[in-house]
Amino acid sequence: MRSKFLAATAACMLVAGCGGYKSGQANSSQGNISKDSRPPATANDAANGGNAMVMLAVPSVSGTQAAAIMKERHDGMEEMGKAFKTLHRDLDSDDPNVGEIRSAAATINKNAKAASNWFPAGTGPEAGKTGAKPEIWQNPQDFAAKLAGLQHYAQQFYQSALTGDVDALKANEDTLGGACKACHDKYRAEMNH
Amino acid sequence: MPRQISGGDEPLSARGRATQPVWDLPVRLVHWLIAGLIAFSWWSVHHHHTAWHIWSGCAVLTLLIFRLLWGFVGSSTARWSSFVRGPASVIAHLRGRWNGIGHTPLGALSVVAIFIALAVQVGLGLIAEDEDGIYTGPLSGLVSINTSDKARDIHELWFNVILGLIVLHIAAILYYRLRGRKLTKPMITGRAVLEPGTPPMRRGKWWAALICLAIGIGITRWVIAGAPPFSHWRPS
Repeated sequence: MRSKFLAATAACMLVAGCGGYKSGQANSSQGNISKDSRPPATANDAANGGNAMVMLAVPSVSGTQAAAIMKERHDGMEEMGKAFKTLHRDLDSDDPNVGEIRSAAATINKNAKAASNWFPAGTGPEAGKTGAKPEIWQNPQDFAAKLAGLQHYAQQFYQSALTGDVDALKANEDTLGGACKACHDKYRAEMNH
Repeated sequence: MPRQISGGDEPLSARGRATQPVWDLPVRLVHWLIAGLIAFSWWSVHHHHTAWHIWSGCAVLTLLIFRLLWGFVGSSTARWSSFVRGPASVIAHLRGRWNGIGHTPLGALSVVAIFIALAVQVGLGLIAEDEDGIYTGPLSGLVSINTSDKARDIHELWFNVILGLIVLHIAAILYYRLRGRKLTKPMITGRAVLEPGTPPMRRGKWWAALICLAIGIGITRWVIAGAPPFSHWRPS
């Protein structure tokens, strides 16, 4: 009897203990992916028009050209990752450094645009060590739409960074992170480097 | 407690077969919850549910704090002082000269190793961040980006240490099983058949368990909040 009471109380307390962790960042970015798995109209237009065509139209590459693109892609992704980590810390802190956020946003925006040229056929795992999964080239439409989503949200975040509105930045950080995650969950292999 | 002597017609063997409490409810709950959470943590992080993974780690942290404290005020078999012994006891145990309930001296080493390994793993997770910087451990703001990334790498490698200890743990259980001793059932029911004359388990107080749990939850919530006031400090 006593042990049942103890178990029930302990269970209640454990559940109660789960209330405090503010993972709004993570949760809302997940929510975002499920809510709008398709990017908004502007991004879609870009996907249907510009970027998808660019990506599909890029001729396949091999040899040193493939290696050069893969290197550029790797460095660019790493640069974007570092920039995102920087702005995440800023937005989590009590006094975000808006200048730092602005330059991180510019870095992400620049690389997101450049990414249109980062995935020509022939730069998958067959060409060397990479986190890019073969699924990218099996689902070019979906991949292009997701990339367009990133480009849209990166641009949006950059605009907010220019105004320096921290609340807007926090909201846009979630959608931007969600755009990274949407693609990485599906198209990036686990990589140790 | 004096050695029990068969009274009257009742045969000794029948008396010996009665089960007695060995593990209290908090010990068993912590054991199985941690086992489940380790499996869940592994699954969630490999299926892109990083937020769930972080929550799972916070739950493990709560249980570790609880278990640490319960090891001081809990039932006799839960107490660190009752099972953490010196090398002489371990050697005596290996030579078959050990009789008691609870963890054997060698098993106690395994318990301590698993406890420390889990504490290290949770600590690394608290300051880690994922590859993209989307998900951050609650204390990642206390360290630099590089430290946070390094912590993630070690966190990933350290899981192999935990796996190794789990393999040892299960191997020991199988070894005892082959020698006719079932250890899993007592960890579920809390009861086992004891050798006559073994001192019984002394139960801890239920309210002491609740206090330990409240402290565990309190500290975990403080950690989740970023451990103020230190959370305001930003490394350059």
